[in-house]
Amino acid sequence: MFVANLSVPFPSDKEAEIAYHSLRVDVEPSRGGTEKVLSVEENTLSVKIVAKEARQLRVSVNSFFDLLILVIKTLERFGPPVDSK
Amino acid sequence: MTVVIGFEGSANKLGIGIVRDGKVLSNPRVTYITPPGEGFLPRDTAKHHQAHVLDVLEKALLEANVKPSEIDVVCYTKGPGMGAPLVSVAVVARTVAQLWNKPIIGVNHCIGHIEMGRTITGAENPTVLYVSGGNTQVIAYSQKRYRIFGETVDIAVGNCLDRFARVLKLSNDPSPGYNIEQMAKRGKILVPLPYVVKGMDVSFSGLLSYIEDRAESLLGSGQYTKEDLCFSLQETVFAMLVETTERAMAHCGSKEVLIVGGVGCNVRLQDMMEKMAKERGATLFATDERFCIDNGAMIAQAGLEMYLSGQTTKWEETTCTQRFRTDEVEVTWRD
Repeated sequence: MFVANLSVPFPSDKEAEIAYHSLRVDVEPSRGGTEKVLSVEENTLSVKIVAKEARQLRVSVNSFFDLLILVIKTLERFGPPVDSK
Repeated sequence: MTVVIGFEGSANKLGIGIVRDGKVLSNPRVTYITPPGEGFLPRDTAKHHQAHVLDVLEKALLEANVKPSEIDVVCYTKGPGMGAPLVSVAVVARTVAQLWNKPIIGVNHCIGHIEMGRTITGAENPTVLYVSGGNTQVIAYSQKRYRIFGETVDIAVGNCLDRFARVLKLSNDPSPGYNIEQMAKRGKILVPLPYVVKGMDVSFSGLLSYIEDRAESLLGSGQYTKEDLCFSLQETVFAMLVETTERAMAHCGSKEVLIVGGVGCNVRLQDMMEKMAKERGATLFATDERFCIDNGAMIAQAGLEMYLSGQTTKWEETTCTQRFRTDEVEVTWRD
């Protein structure tokens, strides 16, 4: 078994929360052999990815980073978040 | 006044559209084009969409002259489609929905095509032929569902055409289907090909194997040209589609037929369907390439209908699914 733990700091608690909710709902591909758990505390997004093989872990981590980078770019370009009503 | 933004990226086209009360305010789109002889793969397609989605989003907002605060609801394609491209687009939709504090709706790709087709053409209650690279279905609306009366039992008709274009090494720009269509216009000789209609259903995989296996020898014999093969493939597959559509129309007593999906751009298919409709005393509706081909506005339009009839998607369900049957959606916006 192979495990990766990632910790990503964001400029604000709100932005970390947005990233968490954007990324947490997708399940891993059913034949991917990996499992992913996300959590958020204050301004830090934490990710744990577990895989049976190193190759699967690498694919999953790479894919997650692609989507994380996309979320960050979206936050930068179309943020900041409007205040909740 | 309701303003909806729609995100579509289930295959190699990425589009974002903004619709206000049935009017399309903007609909920019980019296409991931692979070299001749190659199809697009999910991972590379997803990378293409990730690289372009924010530019397309900005363009959609600018062209519509709409501010995020004016948008009422964010819609995205929940499925069906390719996994990685779907997720890449959904992640952006989720992020902006939170940034702008708007509700979000996951839309079925096929229903997006149908609702845009109905809105643009004004068709009331048509029998729908939905034909693209990923889908081939004959659909009619009944009791709150878009019912699938007939469909392909293997590959979509557009998939068959696209793969044959690979065999001939035709360009994928602007699309392999378009290039087959142009070649077919210059075809003169009909090559007999398997005609596989199964009641209301159709099958294309045997046909594709047949013409793939024989393409080299048919061309090598000097008896046929590439144009003849393209012509023959179109005549055969389109006749199959017309037959099954007519059978559904007869079964439902329908006086309208609507073609949606990327293959619906094909003028030869429209001609053949028009002839059948005319003989039946029915009316054919079709859209042009702005809306036939996958686009963001169709997702926005279907999302608008869903939103106005009270549907939104719970956050836990804002996932993507590669398989999402057309008849799974409750059509709350129609009688």
